[in-house]
Amino acid sequence: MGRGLIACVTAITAHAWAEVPVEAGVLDALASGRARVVVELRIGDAFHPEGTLSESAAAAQRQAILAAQQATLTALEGVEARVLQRPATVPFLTLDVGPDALYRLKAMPELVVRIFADSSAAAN
Amino acid sequence: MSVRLHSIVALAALTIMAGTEVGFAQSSPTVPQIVRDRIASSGRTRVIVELAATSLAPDGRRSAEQMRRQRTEIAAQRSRLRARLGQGAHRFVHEFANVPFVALEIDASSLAELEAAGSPAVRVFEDRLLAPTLAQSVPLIEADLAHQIGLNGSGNVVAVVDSGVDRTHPFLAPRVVAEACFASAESGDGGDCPNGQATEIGPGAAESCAFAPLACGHGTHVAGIAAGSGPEFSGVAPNASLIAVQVFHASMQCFFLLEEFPCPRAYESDIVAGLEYVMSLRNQFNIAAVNMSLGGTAYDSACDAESPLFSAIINNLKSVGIATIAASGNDGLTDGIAEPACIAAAISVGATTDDDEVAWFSNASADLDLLAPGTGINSSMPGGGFEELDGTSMAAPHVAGAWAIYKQAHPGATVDEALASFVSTGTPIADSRGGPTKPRIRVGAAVGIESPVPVIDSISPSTVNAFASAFTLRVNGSGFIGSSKVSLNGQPQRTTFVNDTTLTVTIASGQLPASAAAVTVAVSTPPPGGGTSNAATLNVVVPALEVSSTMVDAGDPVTLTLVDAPGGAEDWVAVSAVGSANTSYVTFVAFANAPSGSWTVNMPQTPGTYEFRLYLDYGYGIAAVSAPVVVAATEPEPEPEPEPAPVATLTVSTTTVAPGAPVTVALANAPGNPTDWLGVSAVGSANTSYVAFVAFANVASGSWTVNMPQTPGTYEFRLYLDYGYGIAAVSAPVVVQ
Repeated sequence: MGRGLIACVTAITAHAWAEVPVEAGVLDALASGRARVVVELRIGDAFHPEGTLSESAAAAQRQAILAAQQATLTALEGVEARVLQRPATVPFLTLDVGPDALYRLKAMPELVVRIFADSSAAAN
Repeated sequence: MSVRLHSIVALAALTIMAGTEVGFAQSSPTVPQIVRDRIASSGRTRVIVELAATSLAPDGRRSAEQMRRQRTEIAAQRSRLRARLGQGAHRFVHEFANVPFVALEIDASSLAELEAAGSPAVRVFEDRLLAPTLAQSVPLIEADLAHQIGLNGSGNVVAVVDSGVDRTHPFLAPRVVAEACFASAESGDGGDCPNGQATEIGPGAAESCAFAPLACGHGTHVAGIAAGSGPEFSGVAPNASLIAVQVFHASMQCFFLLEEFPCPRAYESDIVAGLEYVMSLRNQFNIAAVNMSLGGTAYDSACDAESPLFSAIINNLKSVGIATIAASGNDGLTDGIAEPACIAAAISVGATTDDDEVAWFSNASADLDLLAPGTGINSSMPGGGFEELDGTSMAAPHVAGAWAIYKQAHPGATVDEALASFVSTGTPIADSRGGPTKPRIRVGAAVGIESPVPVIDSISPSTVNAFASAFTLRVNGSGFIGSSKVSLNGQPQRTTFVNDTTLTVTIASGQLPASAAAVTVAVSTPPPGGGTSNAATLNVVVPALEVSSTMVDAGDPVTLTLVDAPGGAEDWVAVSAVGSANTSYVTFVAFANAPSGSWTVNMPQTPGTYEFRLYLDYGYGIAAVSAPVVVAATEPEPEPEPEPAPVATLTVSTTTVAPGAPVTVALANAPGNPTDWLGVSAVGSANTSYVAFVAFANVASGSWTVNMPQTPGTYEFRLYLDYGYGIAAVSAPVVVQ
């Protein structure tokens, strides 16, 4: 499966990618030096809820998610980024980043769909 | 594109700025009659006042600046209201930072200020005193009918993603089957799970957070609503099990009025980690639903594009048959609901009151799925106690518990199938604020339980005065369920379900006919089963004034008899000229609490045609009028002839005596003055001439023996008054020889 994902990513990188969009709230938060961000990751096929997949396809999707997370974290080596949440069933990563990590994420459109703030909720 | 309506993150940037423009109400606020009635009968009442707020309407994506403006405007309006009410006899009960409402206790003068020109008040609502539920809300949604046939959530699990659960609470023990905590710290590496880390899984991991003692009880309260079980009342699915997930961390970003500091907040990523944990247990337990009584930004349509992480995980859960139940939020919006409730695959839930109205604080929008009770909900709190809370947070777990019951009845049902059943069988509730009509869930109907036919045994009161102030009509019978509605002459009324033998309806002043009438009372229960009950009659009577006479002389008494009056504490009867203004009266009789009575009243001295009028509540609205009473002009009584003044007399015992001999003189009918006297004078002598005298005081009659003069001659006795010389009486002559 890892090979399949790599092949897919290779195919995608043949296209021209725009810069990864970043939600305005992230930049606001980064004004204080660091920001909690949720990074939506690109996986080979579109994300499908697990219940709509066969057992094997669900496992493959999890593997693709894991690979996309790993590829993103590898690409962030050398800049300060801390993993906060790493879900197994949905293609996202939650990171604590500084400006240099965000800059690098924005430059990874082949891996990252978009970046938005890890917003908070209150009891209601 | 969804329009973002509200963001608690954006609130972090709030600063108060001067110069905010504030709105004025365009006209007097609407005030329900019940508020006026309460003030008239009790002097004071509690109300919710909606303030004019120009920036609350969604007009595009909400920036931090727009949110700041809104909060500042609301604060300014509250200040205006305070200034307007001054030091009057009112009391601020609750103030809200994010919605333009205040709760007040007011009297008549405060209400007048609210209604006067220039008031910032837009609407005034009754702040209803609601009886503690779950004892009521569970039957209201017909979960009790499901319990009666063994559908109580048994074999199913509700996950509560919240502030933790007190698993030792008697209401909840021992049904917490799995626990986890995902609560990363707002800064630094650690977290606020019991182990001090950002993640903990296992027994005790989801104990109630401790950094905000009041707010951290939220999860325990929510869990009790969904699945609590007790001897006196229970939650919706009292045999369901619970998965407790604690996702709140101690935050310094506390913006809500009167909020604890630090306050509980949950990162989206921590919530999603909790949801993923729940999903990981799906092969271990029959997880019917996840309850999320939490929220952030509000959107006016599905927010999947704005919240892809929530969207992905909630769709994941839905795809494996787990419903994500989310509270719509408490901002009072009618065109927006909070995330994650705005995710299309989530089941969004707004709040209703006990009498089936949309709660004033409840967010709503076209995308809202369901309604459930969310006011005055009494449920478990950490440490073993119970507390009443309001909020869509309380409504959502009603639906989560209902889901467990539904899945017990229909284990293979998908989330969409279950939702369709709740929607199609729910009671439609119109949103009086202008929001959409949405279904309030009926668990019994959703699982196909046939409701009994309602039967009325009696109503109380059965007779009521047309002018009575607001009162509660109690309908006694059998076969009542939470969805049963009382109707008056075929018109359904806002009905409070007390239990399966009692319903109540609050009838406002003026709602009944103003003339004598027989009002038909019936109870209807919607299908499946159900039907309409037998009819009972509510007799409406009007007060009457009867007079003992319709033709009297001026000032003569008339006896007035009052019957079938409302019996208010400040009612009164006036005597007024026929045709005169309501405010005109000659005399009056004030009385208290007298539905009937009799009084004798002296009619006016001025001739004319008069009537007796019944006024209520120290007012000038005429509730009843007597027959006219004509007061006739009377001939003056002739002056009685004065009694002739009695004439004083002097009588002598003899008219011929020897010189110096005694004569007895008797006085009668004298005035009896203190200084009268008798003189013995020669006949024909001057008034001032006398040869002897007798002085006496206060004697109207009496006798004295007087020795006559030694000088022969003819004498007489004279009566003089007041030491004077006017002769009041003279005796016969007495010859001395």
